[in-house]
Amino acid sequence: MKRKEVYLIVLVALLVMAFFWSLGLGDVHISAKKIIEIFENQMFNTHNKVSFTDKYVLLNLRLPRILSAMLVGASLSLCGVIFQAVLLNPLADSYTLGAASGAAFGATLAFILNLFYISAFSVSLFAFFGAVLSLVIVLYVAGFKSNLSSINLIISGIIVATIFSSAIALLDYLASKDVAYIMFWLMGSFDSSNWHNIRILFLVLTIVWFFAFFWADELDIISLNELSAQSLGVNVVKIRFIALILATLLTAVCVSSSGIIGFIGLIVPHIVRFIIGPKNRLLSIYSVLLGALLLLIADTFSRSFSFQIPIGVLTGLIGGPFFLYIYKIKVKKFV
Amino acid sequence: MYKLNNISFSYTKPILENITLNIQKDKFYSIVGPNGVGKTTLLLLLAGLLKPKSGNILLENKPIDFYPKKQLAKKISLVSQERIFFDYTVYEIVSMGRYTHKKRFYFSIQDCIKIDQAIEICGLSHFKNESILKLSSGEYQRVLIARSLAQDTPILLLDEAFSNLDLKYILTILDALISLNKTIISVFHDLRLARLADYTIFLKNAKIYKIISKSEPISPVFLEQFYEIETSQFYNIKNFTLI
Repeated sequence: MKRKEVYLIVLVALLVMAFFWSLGLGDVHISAKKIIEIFENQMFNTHNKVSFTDKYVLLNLRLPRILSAMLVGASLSLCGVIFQAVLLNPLADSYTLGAASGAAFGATLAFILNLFYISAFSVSLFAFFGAVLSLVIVLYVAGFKSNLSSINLIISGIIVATIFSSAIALLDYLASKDVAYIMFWLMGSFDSSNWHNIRILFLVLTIVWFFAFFWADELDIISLNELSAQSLGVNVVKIRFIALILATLLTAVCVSSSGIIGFIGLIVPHIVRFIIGPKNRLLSIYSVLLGALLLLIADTFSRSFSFQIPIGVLTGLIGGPFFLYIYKIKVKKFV
Repeated sequence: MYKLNNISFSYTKPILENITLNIQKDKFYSIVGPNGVGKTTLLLLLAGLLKPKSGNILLENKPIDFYPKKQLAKKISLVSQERIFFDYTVYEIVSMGRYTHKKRFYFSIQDCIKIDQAIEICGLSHFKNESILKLSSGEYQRVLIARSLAQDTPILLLDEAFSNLDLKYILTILDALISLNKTIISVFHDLRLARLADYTIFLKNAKIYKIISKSEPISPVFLEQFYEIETSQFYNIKNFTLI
């Protein structure tokens, strides 16, 4: 018990440190003291002397970007936790299930049809429908009812993801306008982070997190086996349905705010499970914190080079090999 | 306890046809029969996890599908053949048996006592903090049995739950179960084990072939007909009836 609390404190401390480190870093260097002074001015109406540039860079450029990165990291990790539990599959996450690609397709469609001008929610909404569509196809192809084999699910996820990626490419090709920014957004980027997206992300993440925390016992039991979960008294169909809808919604919100960022939802729950075990109540807390931390660090690195590497590319480059490693072990063990 | 009236069940071909059965309280029933005869299906019907295509099942004089899921889980527990993918500890798995009893965020003292008892009975005390994925198949089966013991239900359904256990654990666990006054219905492959039950239900061709009580001897001729085996082969397993 003690050990787990220490990890929690360490994780929170690291997150706070990374937050301030990342805020200060960039073309305009801002010291920790100045950062605190600016926040003080904002929150308590004090009148510390700060330069306008510092304030502008901090509040309008860095803070939204950093918060987005943390929220998206936390969200994707939570999606991973939920998908892995309800699909009884340690390899599942938004990315490997193809849900992210489906969401990206939906969001691209909304961009290209200019639905963004009608309502800011339309992109998220389209992303959600895209993600639901891809998930339904994947679960159908994998034979959700009869056999929950890891390989089936992952292969159908990859196939569906490929189809949607091609569909996105086709949309971009057919669209008469400039699609460079769509391509860049798709590769995963926090460049266009804004407060509107942050609010939606925060709201949805809170709802989904509350679900995962409150129904953690049910998630634990469902992650064993459908039959025994039912005989232990869990309403498997209901909980699983709600869980899939919520995780898909969260995926869609992430993708519409920052494109496709792969593997974070797969890796984080694995690391946490390795350290503190597979209980979903703990997983839901630690994964959210670790996900926020890792993606914040990754994003800070991605913007500290003289040229910016899309964050999705970076997580793919680091996460891909990690996925291969897990896949190799799991396949040996379970199939 | 249970009343089965004219139960039929089919997937594509009929699995069970017109099964009528009375299960008495606190008795031990075993189900035997050739592969694919519907033993597990019968167990799942009794657990309320499958619905019969026709006929009805009464549990304590109420149709079984009248019970809410949580209520049913307080009456019936099931040990089935399952694979677990995540490395929960033995203790964590057993404590999941308390799901219907526990408060949402904590276990009561009563819960902890039941969990410890179940672990004790199944001889798991010395590795209760081990990962479930590191156990042998026999130890693993004992964990699943312990989980259903922790569930603390009057009815226990076992689907070949003893298939990988050695005789010592089979007998100690069965002894414990019987002394706890539970209604036990268990599928067995091994006829010798099945005969330990008060009643042995022989299933064949989707029907109940015969129900034989513990005191009744089984004649070689009966087994010969039931399993459709030759007399010459039969001599080797004649001793089955002696236990």
